[in-house]
Amino acid sequence: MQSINGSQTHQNLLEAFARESQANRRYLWFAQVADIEGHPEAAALFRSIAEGETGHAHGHLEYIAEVGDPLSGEPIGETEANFKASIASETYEYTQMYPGFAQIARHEGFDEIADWFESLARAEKSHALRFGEGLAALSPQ
Amino acid sequence: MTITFDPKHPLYIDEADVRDELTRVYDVCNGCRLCLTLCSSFPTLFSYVEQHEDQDAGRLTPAQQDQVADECFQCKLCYDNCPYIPELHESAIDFPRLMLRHAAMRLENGQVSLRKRVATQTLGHADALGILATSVSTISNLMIGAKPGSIARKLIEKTTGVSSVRLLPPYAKQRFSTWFSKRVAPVLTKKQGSVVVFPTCSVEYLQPGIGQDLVKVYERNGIECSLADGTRCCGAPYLHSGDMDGFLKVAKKQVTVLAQAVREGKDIVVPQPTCGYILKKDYVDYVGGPDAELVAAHTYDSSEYLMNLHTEKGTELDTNFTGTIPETISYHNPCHLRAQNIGLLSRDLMKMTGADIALIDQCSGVDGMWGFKAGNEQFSLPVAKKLAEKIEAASSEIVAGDCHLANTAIIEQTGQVPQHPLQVIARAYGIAGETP
Ligand code: SF4
Ligand code: SF4
Ligand SMILES: [Fe+2]
Ligand SMILES: [Fe+2]
Repeated sequence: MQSINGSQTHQNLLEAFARESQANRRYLWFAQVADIEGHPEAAALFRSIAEGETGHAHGHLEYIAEVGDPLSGEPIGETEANFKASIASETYEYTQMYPGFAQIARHEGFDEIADWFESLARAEKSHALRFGEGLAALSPQ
Repeated sequence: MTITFDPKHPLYIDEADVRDELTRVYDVCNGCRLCLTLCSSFPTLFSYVEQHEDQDAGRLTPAQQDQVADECFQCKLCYDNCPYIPELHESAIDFPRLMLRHAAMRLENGQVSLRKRVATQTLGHADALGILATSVSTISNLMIGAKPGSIARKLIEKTTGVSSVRLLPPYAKQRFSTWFSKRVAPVLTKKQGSVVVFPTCSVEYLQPGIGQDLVKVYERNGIECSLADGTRCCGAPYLHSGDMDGFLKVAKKQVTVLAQAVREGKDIVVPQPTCGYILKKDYVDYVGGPDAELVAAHTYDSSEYLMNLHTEKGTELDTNFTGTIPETISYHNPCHLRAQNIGLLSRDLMKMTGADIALIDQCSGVDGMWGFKAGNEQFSLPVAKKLAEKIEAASSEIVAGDCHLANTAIIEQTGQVPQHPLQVIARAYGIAGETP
């Protein structure tokens, strides 16, 4: 098969991956709501379909991986590369994305959301640190 | 570390093991942060972890670990929120139950201040305290009614450990069970069921009016009501302060008495969400066995039972509401009802009267007895203030709520006196409230 790099299909795979990923998280959240409302069967249904969406997202990602990480653009595939790509995306989130989002939220008068973004910046930093440790543990000197 | 929520596990109160487990869970929470705004435990935790460049939760001192745990008041909201709970994830995080394990560990190792221990004794012996207080209710109401922050209250605080800045629920002149045994039960025309009313300390001693309205509403619907001999405090104050032995002693007795009632064909109804949660979930988890399961399977919140009458085939709820119905009701959904995973049944029930309901989904910060303990008020008061703001913004004709403790916080913060949903239903049927 020819490379998908630069094709409309690559764009479509990226969009489909984003949608399926979001579908998975939405259904898991819906399941939680169903649990609280006392509808365990509805919760189980949401959870089981959510798994299906994960499968779809993974299928898309397998094609996308050939070109690179959809979030960081870094190469992905094997664990070492995957760690590096993860560190790159987490670092972007904690150094640029969330601080920027927080600033805008505060500017727009959404202080609670600004606090939430700022707290997440620190959480993502801890993710980046943990992945760094994971990467180091992978190739002992 | 060991992941266990079983007080009989040999490492349940092992300090080193508990501290390692705290580290493990605190680390996951730090990377997740979903519970940031639920209470002050989480911001406190995150601020400690952030003191270290590497964000290693293992660097927290024991005192810092304890501070996070001490700020937890067992509302269970973080459990409902968490994607890492034992049922869903191998990380098996049950944050509130870990906080209970921590409290048990500290109590066992003598690390709890004397003042806190006396408060648990005082609040934990709600029964004994109640018997005493109802017989001298005028005096105790005078004392408890002493202005928050006043010298009298400071004195009570000093001697009992009960916070002097919180408004305490007043004691009633006649206990619920006394009223129940003196009254003449009506002959039921169409019997639809039979229940044991679990009185709960708050209805028995503080708000018998809720119990009276419950009984009248149930009897109107053909539900025979009885009390079970030997039902006492459910044990929540012991459990929530880490006194596992005290809790298990109370809990085992209750399970025996209640299981017997279920075998006689009765269901159990509980008008107070904290106690309902204890009967439905904590007896199963901490006492265990077929009797605890039986009790849990037959325990209903007082609105849940009525809604079942309405929705199930073969039974019927009287929806002929010809009494007093407010146009708008602000309904406070208590955390411990939310944690029962039954939906918003008190809201649905009151909705059937035709009233417009504004849902107030905000913790009151007094779950269990936590908010009333001296030293805890700086954490629980901001939470209660948020609740007051939401109630004031809704500005409904009346306020309703199932939780007696949360209702007390609402009175304290807004001056409005909330009604229990069963009282709203009683008035909507045209049943007059008895004078307390
Ligand atoms: S149970 Fe409630 S008070 Fe305790 S940590 Fe969870 S959210 Fe906070
Ligand atoms: S209790 Fe669960 S949801 Fe809440 S911060 Fe911790 S890991 Fe996240
Ligand atoms: Fe992350
Ligand atoms: Fe994230």
